[in-house]
Amino acid sequence: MRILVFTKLLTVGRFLGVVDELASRGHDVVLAFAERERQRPHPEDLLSAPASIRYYVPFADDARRRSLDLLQRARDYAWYLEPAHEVASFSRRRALERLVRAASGHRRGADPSWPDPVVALEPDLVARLGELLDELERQVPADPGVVRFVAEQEPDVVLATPLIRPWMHQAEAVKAAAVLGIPSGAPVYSLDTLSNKGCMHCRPDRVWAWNEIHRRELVELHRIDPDHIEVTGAPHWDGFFELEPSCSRAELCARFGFDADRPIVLYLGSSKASRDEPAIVTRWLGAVRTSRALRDANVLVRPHPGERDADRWTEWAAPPGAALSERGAKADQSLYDELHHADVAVGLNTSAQIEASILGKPVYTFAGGELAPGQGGSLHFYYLLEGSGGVYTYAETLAEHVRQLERGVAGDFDREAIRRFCELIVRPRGLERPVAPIVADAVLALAGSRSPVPVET
Amino acid sequence: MTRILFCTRRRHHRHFVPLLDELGRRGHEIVLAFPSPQKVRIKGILRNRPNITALTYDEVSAPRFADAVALLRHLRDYGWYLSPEQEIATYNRHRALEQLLETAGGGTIAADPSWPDPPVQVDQSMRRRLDAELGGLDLALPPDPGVVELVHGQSPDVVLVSPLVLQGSHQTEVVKAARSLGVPSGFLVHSWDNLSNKGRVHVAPDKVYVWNDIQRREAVELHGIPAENVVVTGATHWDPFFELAPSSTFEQFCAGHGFDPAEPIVLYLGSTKNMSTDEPLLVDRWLAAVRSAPGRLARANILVRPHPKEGRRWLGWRPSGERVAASSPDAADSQGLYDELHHATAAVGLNTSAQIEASILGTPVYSFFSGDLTLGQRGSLHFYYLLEENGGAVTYAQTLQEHLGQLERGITGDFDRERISRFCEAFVRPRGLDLPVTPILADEILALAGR
Repeated sequence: MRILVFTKLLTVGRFLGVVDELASRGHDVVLAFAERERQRPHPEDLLSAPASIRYYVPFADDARRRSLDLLQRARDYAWYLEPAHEVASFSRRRALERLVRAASGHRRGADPSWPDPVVALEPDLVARLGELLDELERQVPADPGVVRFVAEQEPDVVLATPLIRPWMHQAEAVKAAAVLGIPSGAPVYSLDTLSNKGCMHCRPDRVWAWNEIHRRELVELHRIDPDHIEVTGAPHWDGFFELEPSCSRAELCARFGFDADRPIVLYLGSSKASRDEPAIVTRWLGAVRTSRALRDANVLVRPHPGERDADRWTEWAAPPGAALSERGAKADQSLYDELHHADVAVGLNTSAQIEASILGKPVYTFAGGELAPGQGGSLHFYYLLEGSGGVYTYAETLAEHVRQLERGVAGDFDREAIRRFCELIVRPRGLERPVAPIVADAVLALAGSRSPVPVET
Repeated sequence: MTRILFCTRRRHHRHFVPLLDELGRRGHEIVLAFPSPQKVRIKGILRNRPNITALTYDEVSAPRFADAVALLRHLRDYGWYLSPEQEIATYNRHRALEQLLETAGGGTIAADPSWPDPPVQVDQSMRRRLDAELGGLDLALPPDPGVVELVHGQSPDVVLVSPLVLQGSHQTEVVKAARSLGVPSGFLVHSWDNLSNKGRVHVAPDKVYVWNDIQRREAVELHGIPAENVVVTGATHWDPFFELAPSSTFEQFCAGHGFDPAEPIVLYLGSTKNMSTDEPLLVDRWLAAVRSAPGRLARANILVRPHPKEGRRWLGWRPSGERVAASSPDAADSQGLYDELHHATAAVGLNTSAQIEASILGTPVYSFFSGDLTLGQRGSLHFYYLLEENGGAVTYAQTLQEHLGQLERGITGDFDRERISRFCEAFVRPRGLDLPVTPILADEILALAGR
C-alpha cells in the first residue's frame, strides 16, 4: 500500500511511530509538507524515518486561499459561540483574533476590550449560522493543485494530521482525496485538538481518536458520524512507555543541587495557558514555602519546550531550593527522568500532565487567575480534573492547593485511579498494548476499503 | 438565427416586451425562464410569436445551499452599503441589514431600530478587503448544478439575466453557469435604481447593458465591472411610451375628474412604500398646504395617482375638497399615465420612475422633503440623480413653503423646458431622443451572441 500523509514539521514527530510500523510491514509512506517548510530545519528523526518526503503548494490560487481563510475563521468563531463551548473563553477570543486578522489581511487583531462573546446570539441562531457556513465550505471544491499533487502520488489512502489547525489547509487534502475516490483518514494529534483549535473543516472517511473523550467530541462538537470514528489510543506515547530512567534519584538531585532526602515537586510549564507563567510560579512557590511539609521540598521547574527560550523564562531566576530544568538532548528522556524521580507534579494545563499519569504520578493544579486565561478558558482542561472523569486535583486557591500537595507528597493519593485514567486516556485498548500497530492496522484497513470510482478532476 | 435564454421574473419581463418582440420579429428564438413556482405566462403581445417560449426552473437545487449562498451575498451587499459612495444611502443600508439578519436567522431575528447606522464601524481598507474575499469565495463556489443543466439543456447562443441584483433572487447562478459552459452572458438593467439600491453584482456577466452614463459610472465604480464590458443603450421599455398620444382632450379629461378646465392640473405621482412610511397622510398635509398657498395654486386641480403597486395603502384614502381627484384604476396603465402627464401642468412626487416619464412629456416635476414621513427618499442614492442640481429634471425643496413657491412658478409655465429635454435624452435615450432604444439593444445582444 502507498500511504500519503499530509503533515507539518512541528507535528510529524507524533506520527513517526506509526510510519515505522507501516514501513516495517513493507508499505510505502510518503510524508507531504507544505512547500514553505522545505527550507526549514527538519528534525533528525524525520530525516531518518523510513518514508519519502514530498512538498506541495497548499493553494494554487492565493486569492482563493484568502477567501477560504476568512470563511474558515468565521466558522471557527461561530463554532466557539455554541453552548458546548461556553467556558472556552480563551479559545473563543483566540478564534475572534484570528477572524479579525483574516478579515483585515493580518493588519489588525481583535480589541482586547471587546466583550466575550463579542455578540450574544441565541443557540438556534448559532447553530443555523454554523450550518450555513459549513454548507458554503462544503461547496468549495478542493484546490486543483492539491488534487493534482495527490493524483501524482497515486496513494491508496490519504492521511492528514493535525488537520485542525488554522492557516494549514489540510482540509484541501481530504477534499482532494474525495474527488479522486481515495479514502482519507485523520489521526487526532493531541488531547486538545478537537476542542481547542477550531472546528473540523472537512469530513475524512475515518478519524482515529485517542479515547472516548475524543469520540464524544467528534460526534457532539464536530458532527462526525460515529461510524467514521475509531478509538485507537495515542500512538506517540508508545516510545515513552518503553523508556527507563537514565539516572538515579541521587544523580538527578546532585545535578540540580537538591537534597536527595527531601521530596521533589516538579512544576510542568504550559504552552499558551498563561501570559506570564514565571510570575505564577514565583507566586506559587511563595505559597508552597509557607507549608511546613513543603518548606524544604526540592522544586524543579520545567518550562514548556515551546516556551523555554522566551525572555520571561530565560530571565527568571530560581530561588533557593528550586531549580530550572535543563534542556536535555532528548526531551522525552529528560521529562521521563524528572517525572520518575518526582513525588508529585504540578501544572496549569499541559500534556506533560498526561505523561505524569503514565508514570503514576499524582498531578495537582490550581487556578492561575487572570495570568492564565488559557487554563480555565479551554474546554479540555476540565476533562482531566478529578470529579470530571480525570484525576488531576484542582484547587481554587493556593492555600487549598498547598494542602492537597502536602497530602500528595506524603503519598496520600489514589494510584489505581491514576492507572485507570491513563488507560482510558492514552491506551483505551489496554495499558500494555502499544498503539502504533493498532493505528497502522486501521490505516491499512481503510486503504484496503478503496473501491474503484471514476476520477473527476 | 440566434437562440437566447433570458432568465428573468414574470414581473420584470414586462420591461423588456419591446425588446423581446423586436428579437422575435427578427426571427430569433427566445426562451424566457422564470423561477419556479412562478407560472409560465408571458405578456400578451409576445404570445403571438411562436419563437418566444417560456419555462420555469429552480433557481437553486438545494434549499440549504440557497440559504448559505444568500447569507454570503447579503453579507457582501451590506458591506457594499458601508462604502463611502453609499454613505447617504441610509435607507438601503438599513434594508440590506434587515435582509442579512433575515437570512442569517431564518426569519427569527431583525435589526433593532435603536441600533446606530451602521451598527459597527468598519474601516474602508478592511471593508474593501472583505468585499474582495467574499467575492472570491462566491467565485470559488461552483454554479448550481440544476442551473447548469438548464443552460446546457437550452443550448443558447447567449444568456441574458434581469434583474440580477434583486435580493432573494439567485440569478448569479445563471451567470456562473453560463460562464462555466462558455456561453456569453448579458445583464439587462431594468430600472434606474437597480445599480444603486438593490445590492451588488456578485459575479460579473460578460456585458452589462445600461440606460445612461450614470449607470455606466455605477456599473464601473460601485460594481467593479470593467468599463469595456458596459454598454450604454438607453431604456428600452419606454419606447412605446414615446409613441403614445393623448386619448382625450383637456376638456374631456377635466370633465372625467370633475376638474375646472380653467385651472391648471397638478399631478401628484405616488411612490412605493420605500419612499414614505405613510404617503396618504403626507398627501393630505401637502394638499392642505397647497390650498393655503397665496397664488393660483390654491385653485388648481389636483390629481393624485397612487403608485400602481401601492393600491392597498391607499384604500382608505378619499380625495377631499373641490377640484381634488384620485386617479382611476383604469388609468393605471401606460396610456393612463400618459394622459395624466400630458394634461398636467406640473407633477409632484417623492421619488418614482413616473418622474422620468414626466420628463419624456416635458412636464416639470417638483419634490419636497417632509421630515420623518419621507426618510426613504433621501436615503437612496438614485433620488439625487434626478435632481435639478445634478443635471436632473426634478426641482427639490427642503421645506413645503419653498416647494409651494416653486410649484406656483411651475404652473405658470416658469420652468426650463430645454433642461428637461436634455435630462430626458441623457437619461432615457442617450444615443438620441428620436432614436428608439429597442433596436439598439437588440443589435448589441446579437453582437454578444455572435462573439
